[in-house]
Amino acid sequence: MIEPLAHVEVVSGPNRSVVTVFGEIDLSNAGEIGLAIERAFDAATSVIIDMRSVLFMDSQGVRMLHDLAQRLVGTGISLEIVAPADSVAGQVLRLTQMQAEVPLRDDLDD
Amino acid sequence: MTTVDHDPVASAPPRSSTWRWVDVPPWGPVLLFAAVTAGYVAGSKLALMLIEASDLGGVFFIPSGITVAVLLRVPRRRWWIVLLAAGLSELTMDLTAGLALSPTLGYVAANVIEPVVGAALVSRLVGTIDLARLRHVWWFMAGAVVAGPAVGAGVGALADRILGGDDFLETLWQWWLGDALGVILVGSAILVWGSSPDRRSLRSLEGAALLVGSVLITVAAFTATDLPLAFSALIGVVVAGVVFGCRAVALTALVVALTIAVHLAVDGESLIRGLTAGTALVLVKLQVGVFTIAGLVVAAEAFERDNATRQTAVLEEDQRREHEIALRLQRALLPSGVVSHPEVAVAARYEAGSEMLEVGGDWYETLELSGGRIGVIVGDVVGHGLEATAAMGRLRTAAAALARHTDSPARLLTHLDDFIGLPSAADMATAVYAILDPANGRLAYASAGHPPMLLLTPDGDARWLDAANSQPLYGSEDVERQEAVVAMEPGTVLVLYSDGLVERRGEALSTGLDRLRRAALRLRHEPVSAVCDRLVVDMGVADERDDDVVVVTLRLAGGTVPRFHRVFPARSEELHGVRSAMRAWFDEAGLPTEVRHDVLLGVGEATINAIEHAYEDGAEGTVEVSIEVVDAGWVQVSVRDFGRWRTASAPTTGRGRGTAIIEAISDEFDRHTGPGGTTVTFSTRAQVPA
Repeated sequence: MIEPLAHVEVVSGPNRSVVTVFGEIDLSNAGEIGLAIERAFDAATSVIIDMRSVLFMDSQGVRMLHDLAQRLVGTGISLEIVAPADSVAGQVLRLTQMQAEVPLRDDLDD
Repeated sequence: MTTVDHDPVASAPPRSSTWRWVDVPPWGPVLLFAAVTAGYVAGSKLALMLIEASDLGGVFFIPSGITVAVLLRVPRRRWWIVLLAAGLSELTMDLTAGLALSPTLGYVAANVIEPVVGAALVSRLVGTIDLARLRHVWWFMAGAVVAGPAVGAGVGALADRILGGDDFLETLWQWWLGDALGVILVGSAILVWGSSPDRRSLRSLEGAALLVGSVLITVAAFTATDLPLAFSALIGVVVAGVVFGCRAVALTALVVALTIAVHLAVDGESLIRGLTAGTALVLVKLQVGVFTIAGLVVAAEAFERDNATRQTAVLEEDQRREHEIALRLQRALLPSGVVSHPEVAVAARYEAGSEMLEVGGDWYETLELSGGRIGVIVGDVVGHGLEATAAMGRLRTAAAALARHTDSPARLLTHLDDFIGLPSAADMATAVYAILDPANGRLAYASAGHPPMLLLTPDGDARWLDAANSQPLYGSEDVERQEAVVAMEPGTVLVLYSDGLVERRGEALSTGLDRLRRAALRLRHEPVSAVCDRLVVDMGVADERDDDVVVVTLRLAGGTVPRFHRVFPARSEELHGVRSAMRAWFDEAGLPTEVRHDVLLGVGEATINAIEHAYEDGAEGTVEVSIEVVDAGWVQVSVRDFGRWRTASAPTTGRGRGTAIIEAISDEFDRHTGPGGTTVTFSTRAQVPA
């Protein structure tokens, strides 16, 4: 069996869902990962996507996060992304000015 | 002390060799006496009835089979009861039939001695008889069928002769034939029930068909034609032997024999036209006896073959399981990675043998030593299965522990020799150990009977490191071992391997070494992981391997770093593989970490642009990526496609974002579109270690 390039883990609390993404995100799987993350939106009023375990991410990952953020506009659900500047995802997200769209955090609990 | 016996034969529950009631006092002995008496008298009466009805003389003497079979199934201390019952029955019957006392005593003696001789011989030769076993069938024939009745017939005929009997030899012959047939038919019919069960049970539709069919064929053979077809009545016996087993043979033979006897009693003028009644009867009796023996032999033969097949299957299953365990153990005992060093690229590969024949004890280890040095060792325990694997595990652990305490490869091998603890005196192990100091390229090495390491310089020199060879590791102490030192230039590749890589059946070792040298020279500019992978393929190991294989490759950084070059289909599924290949090359080229991610990202974005725009009309295109470390410490990247960008396609958000990323991570960026496709080039500053 071929290992999937990336996978998603969701921990749903009463109000808050934390989605952790592991692995590599590129053109081949960004859509799939986006769908997996979207499933966590049903249960919570606040969603945090933890991207610290992402080993590679290109512009397709950025676009996927951008699309998710657009979808939440006007729903009352808040979105934050954990991606410190020295992480793989954090670098790309800052290069593409994502912090203007979604708050980028260094940690889960700050 | 208790010993546990795992022999499957010895630990099988003993087959009941005695009738249980025999040992229950006081009824046991009494019942045994009563049963033998009843069987003996009834058998005699039946035999007598058949004789009288047909006027032909004896058919087969039923009591002889009963007595010898019972003796073989009861403990020897009960024999006297059986013999007493037989003797008294014979005595009573003869006297009541009006015979004088002296011939009667002779007949009694004959009928007592006969089963004793037969049973004593058989139980001495085979122990508890099992008519399913071939050897038992043969000794049953020799002892109970031939020898016992021969002695009995001798005694009987002698008594007859002394009392004025007419023809000693004729009496002897008829007596023997009748009694032997009685043992074959009745004796085996009793004995098969304590023997191993048939392959196919008689209690089935086929079993019923066999018995009924045999009776019908017998009747037909003796009534429907004048031809001497008695033998065809016995086809069922042969079928029973081939298809069922000894029980079916004995029972079918008995049924056929009784059918013939009844036929004789009812309509017994002559069995076979053209022959005198006596001759015909002898012929039929011989046919019945011979066919029954043949049936038993065939059944036993099949039983033994079944047994052997089953045992082989069990043995093979055991071997398969051990192989699997050894394989898993070996995997667990091999290192999960190799050392990483900024100036040395290291890769290792292990291929298990595909055949069950042997789980070799091939192993390797790479070690970080003091002063930035690297130790690398490859070994092979020549032995089989779990013990060899365990020995390999001990060696690897010992090597890792010892390496930190000695700077001398020869001394490490000497210590290992002390330590090895080989599973058997016939086994041995080989190993080669090298210490590389990347600071000055000094390589110290020693080999204990292991095939020589191969050194490949960037400009195409190949050299076998065979200057420090000594005997393999036998577990002996105080062996003189050499070591040697060689200088590794920057960019030089060192290949260590186990014999599975070069050895082929029926081929000289030098042929395999030549093949390795040629293959390795071709690969010397590839990344070390590719050298390992490709060597396994190019040496044909993947196709036909009955031994396992280890390959470890090292390259000392420096010299000219090879260019990264890859052409692949323009599909998103390819991206991951390309990243893996680039990462391997980064190790090789010693690229600093920060630059690595920039290059990965830039190549990725440029490739996505090519996939999305150059081949958007669905054409299957390719993308070519090259990366080079150029003189001034710059990494120069080019990503090229061979498609036609739609000039009309305005920059979408995605495309704009990708291009923005490339621009952000690079120091220089350029995109050139021509009729043959588009080339993106960018460069970034790298500090490659000198």
